Amino acid sequence: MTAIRGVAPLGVAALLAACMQIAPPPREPWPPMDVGVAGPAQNLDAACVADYRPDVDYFPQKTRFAHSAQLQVEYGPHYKRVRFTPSVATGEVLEYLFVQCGTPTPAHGPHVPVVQVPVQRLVTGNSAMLGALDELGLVDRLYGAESTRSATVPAVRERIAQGLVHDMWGYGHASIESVIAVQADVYLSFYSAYPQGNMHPRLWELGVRAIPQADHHELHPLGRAEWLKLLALLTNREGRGDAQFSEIVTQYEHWRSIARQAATRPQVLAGFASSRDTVETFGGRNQRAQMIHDAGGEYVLGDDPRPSSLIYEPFEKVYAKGADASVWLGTLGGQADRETLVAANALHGWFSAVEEGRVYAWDHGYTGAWAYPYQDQGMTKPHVQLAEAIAVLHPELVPEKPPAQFLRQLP
Amino acid sequence: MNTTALSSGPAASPTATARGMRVSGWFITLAVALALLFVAELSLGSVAIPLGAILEMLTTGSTDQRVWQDIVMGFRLPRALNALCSGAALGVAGLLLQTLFRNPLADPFVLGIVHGARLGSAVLVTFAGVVGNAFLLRYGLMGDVGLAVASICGSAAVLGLLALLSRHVGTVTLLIIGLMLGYLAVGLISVLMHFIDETQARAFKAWDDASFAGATWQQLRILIPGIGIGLAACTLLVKPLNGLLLGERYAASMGMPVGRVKRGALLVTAWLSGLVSAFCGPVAFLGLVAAQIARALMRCADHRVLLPAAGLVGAVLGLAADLVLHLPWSRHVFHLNAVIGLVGAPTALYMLYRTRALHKVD
Repeated sequence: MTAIRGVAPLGVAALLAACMQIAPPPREPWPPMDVGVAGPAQNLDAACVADYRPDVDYFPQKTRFAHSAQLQVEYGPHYKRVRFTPSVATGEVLEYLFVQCGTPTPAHGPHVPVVQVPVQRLVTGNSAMLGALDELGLVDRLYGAESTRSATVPAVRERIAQGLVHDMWGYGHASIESVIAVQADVYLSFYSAYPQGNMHPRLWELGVRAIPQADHHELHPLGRAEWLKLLALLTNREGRGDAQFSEIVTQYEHWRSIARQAATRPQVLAGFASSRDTVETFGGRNQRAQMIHDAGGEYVLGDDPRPSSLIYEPFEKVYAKGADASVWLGTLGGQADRETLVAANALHGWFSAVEEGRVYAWDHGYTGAWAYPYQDQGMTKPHVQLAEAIAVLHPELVPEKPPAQFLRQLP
Repeated sequence: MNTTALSSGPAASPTATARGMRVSGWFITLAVALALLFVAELSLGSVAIPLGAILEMLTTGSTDQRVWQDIVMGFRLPRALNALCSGAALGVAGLLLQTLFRNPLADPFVLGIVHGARLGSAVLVTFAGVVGNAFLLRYGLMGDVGLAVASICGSAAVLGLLALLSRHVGTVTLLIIGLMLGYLAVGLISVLMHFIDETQARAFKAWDDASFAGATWQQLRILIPGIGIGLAACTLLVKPLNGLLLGERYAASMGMPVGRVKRGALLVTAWLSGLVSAFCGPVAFLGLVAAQIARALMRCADHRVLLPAAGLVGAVLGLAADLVLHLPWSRHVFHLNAVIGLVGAPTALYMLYRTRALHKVD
């Protein structure tokens, strides 16, 4: 009996340890490559430099941020300095140094994370990056995600099914122990406007190269989409990133030019009642507000000066402005119909858009557990969202309604 | 019984007439404050609405601006009525608990009764999730009644346990037990939330953020009569409660059914606390503060005075706290319990410091 008492706790501990075990596969370093005095013809996206020379430009393919209000990049011959200036007023400016592997690390400040590029292992605490990873052909470098349950990108789901992507056990704020255990080159953490919600300072102390992602705080949907170039910078795939982004810009501008033909601008409500007297929505300078404007609508809180992706407003203020809004674009996701939406919070039923049946959620393809493609595929498809929004706000301008990818009308 | 533990110290009233005048004066002051706060609740908010339009709505029932009418009559008025009635209920519940447990720090929140109500609601939400969300959300009034019943059952369970234990432990120990029962309920709620659907969890989270706002007229049709019944029942308890102040043995020797009186008072307390929790979430400290302020103002232990006074002070505090929340601040960050806590926590600390009974080791 005594023996059983002694062994039982050990057995439980072993069981728990087995449940939580994270064992990333052994790492194969990039092969060294002689690039000579002329330098490489294109960026090395799967090799290190074997014959470093200080006067050689190792990044013949360079990119720049044209639409992002938060990111800047500056190239050196064998390194890239990326500066992140949050649009929300957190008062910090972050700098990262991406150094071509096989070359020396240049001088840098004590708090600047240094990342050897191209990276081999990525973990993302921001689901928005999953679609961008797929578009840049980088899913095979994904080793962890904030939630393996909520991913909708087919290639990512396939990799999850193979057991190669670890669940970081958190919605936006992954477990620090799991992040360390995966031994990723880079952890793409979620950036919050509320400093206490940010993990990167603690992760830096622990030696994890965390790169906060604030695509959701951009001022323009194209600025948000441009965050895919950050992934390109980390993997030396600037050429592919630029090509991809250029196509997004072309498509977005096409749809925006169509929306400009609209004779009127309908009032658009967004967000949802998150408590008994508060509405959760986004600021008037946020990229989502810009999307409504580009689609030919007028966001009811458009005069709000904040770029925040998450603001809480008194219900009566939102009601005073949006009671008669003709369209509700982007309400609470995961609600089967308008009846369920009102049952979730009776305040939803106050708006005339509900009565008139013009309520839309960005949750097409909802898979449960708050997961839908908009969350992890939407960042790099602003043109698709714009087309769907125009079809709702100005159906007369879109004779052939685009197939639904993100937007769903609540029956 | 040491009545000084319940009264605010040696009475300073020179004559019964002077005491009566002071009591009347305070009742009038509280009633005026209540009326002013009620009008302020209807008039002030993040949307500026002229007082003339509000008076027009209250007198004629309508105005030209539909949105203003919706905000005042559909949002602010139910909220103000809820704050008034729930504040009164919590004030009276706090006073009853303090008398029953002979403990000036007793309060539905401190003793874990509110957390019991939360647990009852969480069990219902979980059950609703299991049976397909039909019970709680789809059948409107029936869902509201279910929520109230679950909440009352939860608070009654904790209160019953406390009543049993109160025979065997001292004042401080009882407070600690209440605190632990509250933590236990919070832990069980977390376990339940872990296993239910995210939609249900989100609905529970919204409910769990204490607030007088968002009460529908349908809910008020349950809440206000329910509180009215509870307060009416209290009037039957006034004489026995005064008898209890003299000590249970003495009261029993005078022929008072002490056990029945205590059970009745506990039932009324569970009823009031559970009802308020069902429609406002877990409101903290209001009962404690209201009862203490009522004692301090009235300077007596007579429940004929204290019960209506605690109710009035509770209603005033409820309206005042809600008004602070809904003033047109540039940032929308206040929570009801935070505002009440700013007054409630110092009051509790003062009581801990002042009450000699609480300095003893049990």
